[in-house]
Amino acid sequence: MSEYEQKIDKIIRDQSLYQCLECGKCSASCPRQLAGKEYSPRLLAHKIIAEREDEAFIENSIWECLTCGQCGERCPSGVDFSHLILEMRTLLAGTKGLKGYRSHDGALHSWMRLMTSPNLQQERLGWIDTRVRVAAYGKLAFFTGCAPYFDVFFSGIRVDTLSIVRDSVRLLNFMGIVPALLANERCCGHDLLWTGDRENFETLCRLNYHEFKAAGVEEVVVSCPECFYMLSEYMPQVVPEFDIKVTLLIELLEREMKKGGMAFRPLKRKVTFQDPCRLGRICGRYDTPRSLLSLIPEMGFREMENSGRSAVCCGNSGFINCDAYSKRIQVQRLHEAKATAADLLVTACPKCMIHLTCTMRDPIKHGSLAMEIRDLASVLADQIEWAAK
Amino acid sequence: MTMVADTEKTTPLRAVLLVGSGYGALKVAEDLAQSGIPVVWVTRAQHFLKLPEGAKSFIEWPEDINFQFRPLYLRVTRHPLVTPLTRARLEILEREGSSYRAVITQDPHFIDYDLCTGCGRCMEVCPLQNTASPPLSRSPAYCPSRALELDKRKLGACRVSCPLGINVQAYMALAAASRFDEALLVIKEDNPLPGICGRVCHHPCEESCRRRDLDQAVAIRDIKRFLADYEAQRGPVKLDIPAKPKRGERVAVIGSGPAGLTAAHFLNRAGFAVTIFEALPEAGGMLRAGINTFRLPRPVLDAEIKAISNAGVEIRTGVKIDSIDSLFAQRFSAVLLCTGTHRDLRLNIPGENLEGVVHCVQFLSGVNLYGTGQVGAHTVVIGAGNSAMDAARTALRLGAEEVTILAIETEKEMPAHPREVREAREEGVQFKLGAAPIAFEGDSGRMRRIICRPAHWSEPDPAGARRIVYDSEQTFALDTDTVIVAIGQQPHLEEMGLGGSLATGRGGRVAVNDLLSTSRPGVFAAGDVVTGPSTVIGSMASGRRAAGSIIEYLTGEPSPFADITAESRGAGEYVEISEDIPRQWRPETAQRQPKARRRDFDEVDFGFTTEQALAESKRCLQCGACCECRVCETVCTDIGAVDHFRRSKRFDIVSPCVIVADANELPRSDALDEEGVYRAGEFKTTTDIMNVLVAGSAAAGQAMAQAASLRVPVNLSDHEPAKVLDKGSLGFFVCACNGAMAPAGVLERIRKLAGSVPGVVHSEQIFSACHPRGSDLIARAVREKGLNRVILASCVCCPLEFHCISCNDQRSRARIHLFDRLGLARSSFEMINIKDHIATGGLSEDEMFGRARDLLRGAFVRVHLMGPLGQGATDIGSKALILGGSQVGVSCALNLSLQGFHVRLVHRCKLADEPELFDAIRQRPIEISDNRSITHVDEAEIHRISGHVGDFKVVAFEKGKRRTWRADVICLTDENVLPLAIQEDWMGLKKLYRYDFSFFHTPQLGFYRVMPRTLKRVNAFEAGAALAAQVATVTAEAFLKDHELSPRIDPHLCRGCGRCAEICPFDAIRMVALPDGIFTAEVVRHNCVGCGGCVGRCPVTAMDIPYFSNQLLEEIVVKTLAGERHHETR
Repeated sequence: MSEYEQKIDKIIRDQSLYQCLECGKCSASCPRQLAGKEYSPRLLAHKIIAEREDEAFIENSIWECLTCGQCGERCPSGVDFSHLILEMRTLLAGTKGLKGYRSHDGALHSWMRLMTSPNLQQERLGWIDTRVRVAAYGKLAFFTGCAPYFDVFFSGIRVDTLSIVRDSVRLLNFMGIVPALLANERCCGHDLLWTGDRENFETLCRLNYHEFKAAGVEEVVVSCPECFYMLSEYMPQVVPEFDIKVTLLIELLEREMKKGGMAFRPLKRKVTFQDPCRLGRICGRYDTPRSLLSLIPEMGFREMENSGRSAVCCGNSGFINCDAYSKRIQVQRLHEAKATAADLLVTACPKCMIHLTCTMRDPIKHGSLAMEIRDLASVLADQIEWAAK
Repeated sequence: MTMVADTEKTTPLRAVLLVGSGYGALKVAEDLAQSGIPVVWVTRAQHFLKLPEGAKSFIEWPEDINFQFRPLYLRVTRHPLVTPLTRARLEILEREGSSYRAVITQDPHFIDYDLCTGCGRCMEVCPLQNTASPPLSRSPAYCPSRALELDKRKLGACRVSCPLGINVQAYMALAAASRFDEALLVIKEDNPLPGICGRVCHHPCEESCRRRDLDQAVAIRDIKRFLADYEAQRGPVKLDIPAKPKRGERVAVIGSGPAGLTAAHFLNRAGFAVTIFEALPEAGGMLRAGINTFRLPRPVLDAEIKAISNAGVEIRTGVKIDSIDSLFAQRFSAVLLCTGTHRDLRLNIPGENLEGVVHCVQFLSGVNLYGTGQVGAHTVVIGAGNSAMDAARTALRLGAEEVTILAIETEKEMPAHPREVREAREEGVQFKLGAAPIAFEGDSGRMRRIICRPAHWSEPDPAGARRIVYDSEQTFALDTDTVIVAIGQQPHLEEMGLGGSLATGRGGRVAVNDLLSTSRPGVFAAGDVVTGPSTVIGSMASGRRAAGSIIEYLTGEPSPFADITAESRGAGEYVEISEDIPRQWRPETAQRQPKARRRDFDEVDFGFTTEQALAESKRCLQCGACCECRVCETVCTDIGAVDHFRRSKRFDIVSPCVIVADANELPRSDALDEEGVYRAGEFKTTTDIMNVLVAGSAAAGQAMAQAASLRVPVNLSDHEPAKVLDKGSLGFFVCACNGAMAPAGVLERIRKLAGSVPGVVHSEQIFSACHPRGSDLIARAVREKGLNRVILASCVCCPLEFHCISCNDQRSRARIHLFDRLGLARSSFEMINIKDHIATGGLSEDEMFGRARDLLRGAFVRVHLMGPLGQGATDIGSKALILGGSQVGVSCALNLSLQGFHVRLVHRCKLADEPELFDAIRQRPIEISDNRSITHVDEAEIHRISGHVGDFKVVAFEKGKRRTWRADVICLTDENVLPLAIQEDWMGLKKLYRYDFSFFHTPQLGFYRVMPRTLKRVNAFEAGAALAAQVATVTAEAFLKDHELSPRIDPHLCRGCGRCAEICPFDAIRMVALPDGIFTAEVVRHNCVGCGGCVGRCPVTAMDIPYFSNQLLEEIVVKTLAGERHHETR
């Protein structure tokens, strides 16, 4: 058995694929297949197990997956399909090269790879103004993420992901925290990891760790669920000496709220919530956003038809395979949101915001799908106040 | 040299005649040709654009106009329906029935515009390139071609006056450029005896030299002598004109004088076995017997005779032929008699037999051949010709104390060359002129005195003969002991036993016809034996002519030696003598001192030094511009573009109508007022170029109405899109550009490199890719080797059918040959323009190779990513919908109906959102013509226009009823309907318009509109005709060719967001609804111009253009960076 075969066997074992019953629940729940794409997780599982010689099929399918985790959620055998895809991509990228059409001609992956340069000088803090108080170093840092770059790149669809960062810092400031923002923080590497570029991902992890240490950081607060997942789960794997506490902003807020003294101003809006898959299905945080939103007085909250564990992906992941099928997923998702009669769509991940905004801005739809979309942090930051009864 | 007979056929061409150059004419030609009507375009100008009136140089024109016209120029001049005739004159224009008959004469094009690759090697070798007015030049900036032009005027007077027609101008030019070997070759082509002629020729060339108008004739003979001496010192220059293959026939030449030697030389070169029979002990005839060694040293004479015999001519000396029959018996097929005039004329006066009286030839040949000859102390030479001078000077050298020339002539009348007279006088010869000897008196048989009587020559009688007229009865005596009678010679046929066998004329000369044939078949005669005593060069010319006649006699082919006149070649008068040329007198050759030279028989003249020869040859005015040295032909043998012998051509045209862009080019000015003659505007500096173009279209439109029957049907199958073959065999061709691309070694390295790439099954160097034979070579290899994909490294940048502003004629031509003529698949070709990168000058061979390698690397990436370019064709019918019954609309409708269109003319149009019709439109009377191909609609409300050319759909309400009209083309001819079209300033479209000069076009093909400003340029009737012309250009082709740059859409990738449709200013993207409320984009290629804006806009790379795709760019970047990395690590 070749080394390659052995690796596949290991992946199958690690992700419990041998337990696949070929029941087909994965395919029946896969949003991509439901959107009409010729892609079947069940068939892929079969091929990997039993027909490994059909390399072309396996290779194509591996790059099709959204890694949203819906199939894993439904799998009666507990196959972790998303991570199976992750491992397979890493393996294939290493042996057959990076594949899969990358949206925006791979520009975003390129800038992520650019950040692996050790002597890189970035301009990522230019957005800071008097609305926020930040430090250059300190024990607690806030992880900005890629928002400063996203807004430049996606200026065409007028998306404002920087508002998430700004509002997150405002929340911290409100709680009396002046976080350190690192000028040469790197991308968390999520998209590189999930598109098979393990080497560059690890480099980013190490560089980020050095930045943290250089700034004397002991705790990092993260707003983006992808960054949170990478920093909390993967960085310790890559950096053995990792000794930094990683905190999800909304969990920090939830803890602080419980101490009392803080409250939310009323918000007369009808709201629904888009569960980011990295926050929900992967990190299991379904309740925190909802309990925080429930603290806002006068706000009407209605779940979409598919929510929580069944929530549908925003259509893309890792900036690959954006196509007509992603579009169908997004259109349907926005129809679900509209069906709640909500006038504000809240999400908790900049990627969800970008992808759903993109679809709302289609010239062809003349804005018929448009609705206000805001990040949870922004909604909370705008409403938070000191309780004084 | 052969002359090509003018064999232009005379079946008249049927086409619309367009007269004159300029921007307006360019537009006329485009409209007519694009609409399928053949055009013959004639202009006296060198090119089809000329400077507008008032502009002194092209630089005064805005650069963008110059460049914008390049694609149009190429489209038109290379259009299969356009016959472009530059440098041509319309000689006759006559009305014949309902059409015009025209006759055009086109000046010879010495460089074929259709073949010239613009390699420029001719310029490199032209001896006149670095002079003030080089004859070769590149096409001017406004002509998008690299082709060369040759300024070649009529032949030089020097050449024409030379009996041998030696190309003096050429050897002056070459000598001035220090190219002595080549100069000598030019002489030798016509003259096998340059050293002899360089000394003793009487140089009629110098008498005709135009430099005499300025100062003095160029010292042509001295330069010739210099060149001959140069050869004598440096060893023989080989004549590189290959001799003809040997033939069986033998030719006998009797006599080895200049005529015999020359005839033998040319006969030998023509392949005949030639034998010269010479009665005297040594060859040379009068050159040896009659000309003194101090004028013509024997080594010079010997060497040139030797060269002729070395080339294969057998010379048998001391053989006297006494019967022609014996020669024929020896199986000679022809005999040439060149026996000259060796019998001295006698005075026939008393005492001519006294001892001490000798005759000139007898005297000189004695001295020159046998070392005999004695003179007394007092010698008198009778006669005033060159022979008399020779005799006198010889007498001095033999020891005479006093030599006197006695002659009837006055100083001015003396036939001897003034220089001879001067030299004789310098040496001490005395002259007793104006007297004739009447008797010699002697003592005991020995000469003592000459009795003379003053006399002069009479005026010539009607037969040309002159008599002696004595001036007085008085006589006087000259004491002398030796008399040399030098009054002329005549042939001496009897001596050879030929007397009576051939018819003779005056003075015993052999009678010949025009072909120098004697009364006996097969026997020819040339030289002095025919003409009486003449000149060396004249005899040589006669000998060559006889050789020609013999060739004609023996082979039946016409004589290769035709006489020339100034008009034999070239076009136009001599170059004007510039006022900037300084006057400068000619130098004299150095001579030995008279005192010294009369002591011996050594040569008198020294000849020019190199410096003198160079300076003197530079004095040549190069009257004919091109000197016709034909060195340029030697570097153009593969291409064959240069041909100095092209003749003018005649064209006969029958044309239903004539369009005049320049009235000055008409043969008669009254033609302008005739029916069927239309004016296209002329471009003056003060006018807007658009005015000219609109006027051009108007003229074209009017002509179309008359010329519709000439329209050539287009066969759709001719234009089926080429399919890309499977991946596999890859071929590589590199164009050598006739040697101008790079040194041969570099090209071979490039070829080898490409040939070593896996998948390449064929690699080849092509002498020229834009040459028809070069493209034939490529096509042959493609077909024989089954090449699926081809990389062509040349100057061509792309395989597309499209011309951009960087394109030129050569690039365009290569594609026309490969794809249109030879039918190769455009999409299987990858073109890389290496020429602009490696033939820049100043690069080392390694640098050239390096650059080519980098370009090749890209090509090899690209060649694997090529996809089909063609996207199909659409039928376009002839249904035109005209919205607006203005004068323009009516004129257009009528014109189109005359052209055979089906027209629907809606007189009053209201837009759906227009509250009410303008009064001007509502009250306008409706002009209804009873033309059945026009359907009139009085009034309608127009709601929506959709579709594209060939399939427009118009939703309208007529009298309350909903109508859907289909149309192939739509014209908006009222101001109120203009909003129906896409606005011209939308998304920066204005700039795009300028490139097409499309005044009626909207951004959509097949959708036209007339802006109010157009009516400031032309009247409404003309505007209607111009509009009709535009309609015809798009519809008459009967189909729309696919656009090679229209993007393709991947339906799986397309998110249907509509951003592409949003950005497209041409309405070329249609969004098609899919289930679940999503869409997908579709390209309406009829409307697409291939700008690529949508491709850039697409967020998910779902769109790509077939040529230069995203994938390609990405791969090129990746591979280039990989290469960089490779370089760094090395």
